[in-house]
Amino acid sequence: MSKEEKYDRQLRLWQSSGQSNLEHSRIVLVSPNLASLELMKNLILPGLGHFTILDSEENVITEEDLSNNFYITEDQLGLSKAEVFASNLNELNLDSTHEVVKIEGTVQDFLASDDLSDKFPWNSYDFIVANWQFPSLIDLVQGLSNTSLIVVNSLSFFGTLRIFQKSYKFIETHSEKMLDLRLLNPWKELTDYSDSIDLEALDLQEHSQIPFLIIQLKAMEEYKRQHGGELPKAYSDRKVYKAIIQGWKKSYDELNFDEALTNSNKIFNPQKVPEDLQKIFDSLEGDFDAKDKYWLLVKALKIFVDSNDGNLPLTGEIPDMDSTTENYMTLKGIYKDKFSKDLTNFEGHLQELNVNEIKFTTDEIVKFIKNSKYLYYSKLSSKLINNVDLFIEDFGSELSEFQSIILSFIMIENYYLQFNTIPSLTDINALLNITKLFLNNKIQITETYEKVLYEILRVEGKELANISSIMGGIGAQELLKLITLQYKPLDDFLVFDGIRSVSERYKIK
Amino acid sequence: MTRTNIAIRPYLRTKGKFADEEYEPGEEVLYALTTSKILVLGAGGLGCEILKNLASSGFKEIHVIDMDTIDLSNLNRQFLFRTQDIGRPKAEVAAEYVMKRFKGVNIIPYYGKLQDKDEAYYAQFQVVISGLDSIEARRWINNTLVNLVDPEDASSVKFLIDGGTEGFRGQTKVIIPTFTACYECSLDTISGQTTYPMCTITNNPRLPEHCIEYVSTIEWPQSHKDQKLDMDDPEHVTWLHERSLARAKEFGIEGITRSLCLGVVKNIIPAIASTNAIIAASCCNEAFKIVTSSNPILENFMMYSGNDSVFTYTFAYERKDDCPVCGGL
Repeated sequence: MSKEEKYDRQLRLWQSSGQSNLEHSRIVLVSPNLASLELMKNLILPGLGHFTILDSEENVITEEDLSNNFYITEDQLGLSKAEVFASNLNELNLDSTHEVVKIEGTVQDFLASDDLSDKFPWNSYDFIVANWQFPSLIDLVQGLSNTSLIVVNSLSFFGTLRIFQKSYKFIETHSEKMLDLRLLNPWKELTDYSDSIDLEALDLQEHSQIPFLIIQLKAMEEYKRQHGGELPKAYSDRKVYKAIIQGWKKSYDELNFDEALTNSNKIFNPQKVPEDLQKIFDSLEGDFDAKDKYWLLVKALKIFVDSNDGNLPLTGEIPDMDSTTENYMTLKGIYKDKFSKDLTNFEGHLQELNVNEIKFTTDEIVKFIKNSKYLYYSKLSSKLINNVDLFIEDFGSELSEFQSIILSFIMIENYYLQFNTIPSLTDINALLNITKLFLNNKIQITETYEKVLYEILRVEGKELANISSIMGGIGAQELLKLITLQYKPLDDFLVFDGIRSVSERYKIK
Repeated sequence: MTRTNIAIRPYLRTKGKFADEEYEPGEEVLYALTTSKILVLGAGGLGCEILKNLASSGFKEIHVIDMDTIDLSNLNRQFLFRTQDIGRPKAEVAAEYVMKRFKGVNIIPYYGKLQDKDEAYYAQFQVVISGLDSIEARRWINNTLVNLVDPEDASSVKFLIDGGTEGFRGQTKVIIPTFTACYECSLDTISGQTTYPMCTITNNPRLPEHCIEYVSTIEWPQSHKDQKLDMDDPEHVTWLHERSLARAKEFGIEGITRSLCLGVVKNIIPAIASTNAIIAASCCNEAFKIVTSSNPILENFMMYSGNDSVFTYTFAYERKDDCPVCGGL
């Protein structure tokens, strides 16, 4: 059985490099609920390396589990949850390995123990997945260098997801690329090639096969010639520029001239360092680490840009254009040659910086250059969200519906972590009082908050299979991004409302 | 021990603060949920998830239609299937699996086309959830359900919930025929398959895709007369791959791989379990709200994108007066 074939539909998203990361990834799932089981299912199917389920030996399959949990069978009532879930999840894809760790006493007590870091080999895992923001787990991951924490929750029609990871350092963000074609500031070889073509001397057949980039470039030269060397800037200038192209068109069906016109606005997109990349350059000052590949590459990029008139290295890519194969390949060759030169220069900068002689493969460097315009970097907060000052700082003084959902979850979480049970409607006044104490009169409780809290409490802690599946799906997508280091992850908190089918993101500062 | 409704009851026994004023919770709602007949179209990536969710959220009378058999490349997300099921009809294996897991749930599979069934068949359902992978099939069911509407009979209005995914993105649409925008009304928001001009693929190939298109559409029929190109036959794929490589070499084009050949000819859309999970559950969440009235339903489109962080966009798509299917009804 071929893995390429089995995983074909996902390899098209994250290629073999992402797949290899996934197959080497290890996750520990703490005391599963429906949402976190769904999350694990969505990682095991595509071939997660290993998962461990850590749970109290007291937790067994109940009648309630039977009523909404697909990952058990009726005859498993009363058996250990950890064991049943582990074997039923593993059955989904035998490529994953698994382990069960049962602890004595409650999960709360276990996680609250002073020597938590010694009680389990946490650092041998890449991710810890849990349902609640156990303060001790958050403290724990602070001390671990390569382990992150994902908290996923689902109650009533609502869900939350939070990622605790020290930083995101992404290269392959799969952003929609605006190719840098350097038409406003071409280099010599490109200009020479363009100059070697005399549009007027061509017959109609040849004229209609000139790639549109050359037409645009020639029109730009013509515009500059007419305007004392100035580039078109204002909207009216661009119209003049477009009129030049239009004027050169010999026949109505010259597709290449149509392409030159329809793509003419793209030329003016700023091609130098985008704002997000500039912020990453700015982070070099505080965050540069000469032993970290990402930072070495970023610093080499900064040096490259500074010594190349603000230009990023060329990626060598050009869009498809109506033209003969020969014309297209010649043009492509010119862009590729420039890419190779930029690559050599970049490698020179990298080598000078790389005092620790960390090994880079050419593939790694090429991948970095091709994605350099759209790198992603973010640092995350490790602060607990159930801290009123943080809450106020982020949310202002009026509680919106989303903020009401978040606050409700925090209050229920606090209650759960203290009493090991999820409150229900009979506890609503107690919960409202706890909320008032928490808010300490800094934010007023709104009617929306009471409605949301009511909606959550009335379900008596029961998960709705659909909402848990949505949250497990979202959580798995985020983990896949964190594992494959591709696309852009959530940064760092999400709330989902399944009544209106809407979501909102928050960044905890 | 059998499966009960313990986890679902609290949702239906009390009334939330967001529910419609006229809504009355209680046993009748639970009865409506367990007796409501629901149809699932497609037992693939979305379909497997939908069947699991419906069974886990209290539905008991489910039908499923799918015309495909199980393939190895399904197993990375279609979690009701195992290696030993390869080659068997998806609808049948999926129904067997869910009924084995959830005793008391009745799932009737049909291995065949949507078009095999008549109006009377579709008229028996309250809700239809579509997890189809073809635009044509979606248009067909949309048209059928719009035609079923009898203005004198409220029960003739069948809710159509349509899910679709591609990579990290997806969308859910809730269609109430003749009351909201129908699938056809929203057709211009859907992009079709990429096509290349004939002159490019025959005379001026520039991309590896151009070479593959040439070999599959021109060279194959020339050298294989009556035999159709079958991309599920490894020998055919090998032939196509080798010929495409040769043509690309002739023109100095790089980048032909076996995987690209398959992708271009089969028009493969990337698919993962997690996106299917999100969209299928969103569809089932709407079905649950429709059947129980326990909370308001989606009006009427939701788009999800996980490419760049998490992004959802919910909006009411307007009906089109000149819609060829529901316009004027």
